[in-house]
Amino acid sequence: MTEKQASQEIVIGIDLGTTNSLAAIVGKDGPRILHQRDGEALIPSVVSFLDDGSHIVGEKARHRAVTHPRHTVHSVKRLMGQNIDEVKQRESDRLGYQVVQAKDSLLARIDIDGKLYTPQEISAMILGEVRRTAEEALGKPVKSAVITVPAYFDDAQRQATRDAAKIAGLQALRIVNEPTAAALAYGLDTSREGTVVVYDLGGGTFDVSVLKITQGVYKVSATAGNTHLGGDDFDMLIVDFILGAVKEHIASDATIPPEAMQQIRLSAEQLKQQLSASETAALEIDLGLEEPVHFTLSRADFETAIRPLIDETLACCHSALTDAGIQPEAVDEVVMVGGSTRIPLVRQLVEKDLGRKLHVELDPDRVVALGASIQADILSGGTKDLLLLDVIPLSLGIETVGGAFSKLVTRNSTVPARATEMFSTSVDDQTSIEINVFQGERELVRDCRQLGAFKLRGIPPMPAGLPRVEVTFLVDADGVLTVTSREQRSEVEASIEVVPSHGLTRDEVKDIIRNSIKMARDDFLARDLVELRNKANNLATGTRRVLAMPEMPFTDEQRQDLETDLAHLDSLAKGEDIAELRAKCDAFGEKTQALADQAIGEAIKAELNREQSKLPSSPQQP
Amino acid sequence: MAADRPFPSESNRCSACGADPGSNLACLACGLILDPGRDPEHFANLGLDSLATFDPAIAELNYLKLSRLLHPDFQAGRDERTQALAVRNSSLLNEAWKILNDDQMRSEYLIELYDPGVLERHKALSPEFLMEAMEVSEELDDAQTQGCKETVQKIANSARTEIETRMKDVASACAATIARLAHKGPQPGETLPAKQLSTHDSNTEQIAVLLHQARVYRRILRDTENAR
Repeated sequence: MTEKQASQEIVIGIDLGTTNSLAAIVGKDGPRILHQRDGEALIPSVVSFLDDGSHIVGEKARHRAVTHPRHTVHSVKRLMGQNIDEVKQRESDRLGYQVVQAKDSLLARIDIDGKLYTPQEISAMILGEVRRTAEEALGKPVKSAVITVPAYFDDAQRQATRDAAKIAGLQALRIVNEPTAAALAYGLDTSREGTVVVYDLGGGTFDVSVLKITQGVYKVSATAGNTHLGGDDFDMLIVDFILGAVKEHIASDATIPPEAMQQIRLSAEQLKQQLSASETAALEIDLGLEEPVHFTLSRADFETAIRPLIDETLACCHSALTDAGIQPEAVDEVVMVGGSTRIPLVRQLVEKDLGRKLHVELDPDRVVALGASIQADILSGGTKDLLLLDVIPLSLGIETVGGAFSKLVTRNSTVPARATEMFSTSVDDQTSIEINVFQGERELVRDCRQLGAFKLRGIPPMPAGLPRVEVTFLVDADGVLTVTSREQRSEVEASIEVVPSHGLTRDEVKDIIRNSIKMARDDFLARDLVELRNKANNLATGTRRVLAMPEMPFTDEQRQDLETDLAHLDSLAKGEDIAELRAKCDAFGEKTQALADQAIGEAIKAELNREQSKLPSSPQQP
Repeated sequence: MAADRPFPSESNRCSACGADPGSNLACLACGLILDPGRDPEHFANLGLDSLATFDPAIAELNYLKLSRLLHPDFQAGRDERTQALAVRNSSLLNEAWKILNDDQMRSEYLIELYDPGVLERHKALSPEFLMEAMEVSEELDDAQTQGCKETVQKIANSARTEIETRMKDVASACAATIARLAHKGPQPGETLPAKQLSTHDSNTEQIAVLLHQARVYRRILRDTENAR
């Protein structure tokens, strides 16, 4: 990195996962994961609300899922950009926390003791934690990030992710598809060329992308997937097994309390992980009954249960290959991503189906974050050798006569992509036209997902059919749609009002940001603390170095005094009191300034002496 | 409007480096992002001459090179206008590549360029052809319901042959049309639309019919893939 780039803003890559989230950055030695203070990289994507209304994120929050299921939000990624019916239908009551309908829309909200949160806000809390972790690891503030989403996320889900970043005070420089990011991470150290299939089975989502790599350009040919198929679903199948066993121990009409349900859910996850390594797994589940319930599951039974879901992923692989116009034999490499690809049956079936040896060298939980950091490096002007060309996963179009769906940008079109369409009026002096935009693959709009309604206003009054309003649909590099329009006869720009069907309006995002001033303040303080700790550490290290210099003429008293100061500084740096740490830093900095000057003087003197002693011992000149 | 011309302009010079930019979207010599105006032409966007024989290798090379010049990823720190232009030009480039990289779509686009409306005028296919296609479709339906993979495979293979034969004819007919246009050559001061063929050119009519037939077989081929 050159000096100029070093002074540029830091951009990190964030994998915002269903189960876990983490950050990475490209440093001098390539991409690396940013760890938490305890050395752990993965931050569980769980938010738990405490009695005083504050919240905690990560491992501590995950532990509260059992004791406080109604106050602990997990798998919120599955709610992003979804309306209440979609959530109720799919997640039923497995979530443990309350999901309700928003007051003035169909959107899903999370109800914590009567206070409603949008999935975007919960995601923002997770992003906030990831950001704090990154800032601690880097010792610098972080304002921008590249955030990954499943390739099969639709426009609403992408928008929701962008809004979550905005609420968290992060600028999302780019939304990158997870499988594409993974391909970047795998391709970095080799000059790979050819056709690569990325099979990405995560905690909540499945994606498959077919990429062609030519001269450092990673071009996605096709993508397919299911945004509601993942490890969570495997867990639920085990939960069903466990519930079958539990029901033998309890009265047939007894309901299982949510606390016990969460315990069962976590046990199911543990069993699943054990079954990746051994043929059978057993657990004792304490449900507060007279004695704990013993439960044993064989790998064979587990595999029979998940087989239909894996077959579904394989069918997706084939439709992506068909869309890409590639025969399975022409695939050069298969890359496995996502925690669920640790399941032996998944690996076995994918390998058999695609007839290629699988790439599993990189940790499937971390490869997406690493790839995101590479994209972050590209965007901040670091790497110029690599270029990602991604696609839009689902066709985008408008409603035409009789509720038919007219596709304007077909699925698997490379982004940025655009389409233009002419509209006119049906009544004399009509000054506005309403256009409904949908995303999907079906023939009728009622089978597609509505993205929003666009209202064109400001059309000059003219006889019916005379105005020629050209509407341009532009899908940007994030896969997000923007619409612009112009009336061609008058050259008037018709203004467009967007009403998203599944997302937040710009005003709503602004409101949330305004309402989260406390959160912003917390963030600000946390960042302040990081910077101060860093300063304290630098001061301490510098002072210790000077103390260790043999040439410094310290008295014992001086030494003692400095050691006391250092110990005090260390203990303050470990604490949370910002004001006291700042005061100490300032005072100690002033005190040691003279010391530093003296040390430099002594060091120069010592260096000169050394240089002189190195001179050849020749007769002294008179 | 200059950008509406299907032929690369002779006097086109890059305002930054003075070289022939090679593409409507960006100067291939110095990388300057250009404003292509409205509804620019796909061949010129991709830096290709619509009258030259299509070379997929050159097309891909230009696509990759222009992608690197235009992609929003590489515009960090540039002014807002340039960034917006880069997004727009990237989308035009992707559109050009999508159409020109596909034999069917490129041929359709090409004949429409020189004989606008010809595809629409010859949309109606002969009853004999339609009968034949319908029989194949029925055969495929039967094979699917009976789960007869061999028949599906056989239908797929013969559909491929039917498409190939037609596309070969399309290619040679296009070459002949282009040769006639090229032979005429761009005359100085000539208005460009005059270079378009008369609306009753038997050659483009023949190409249009072949392309419509090829589309029918492509649909059948697609159905066989979905059947598997």
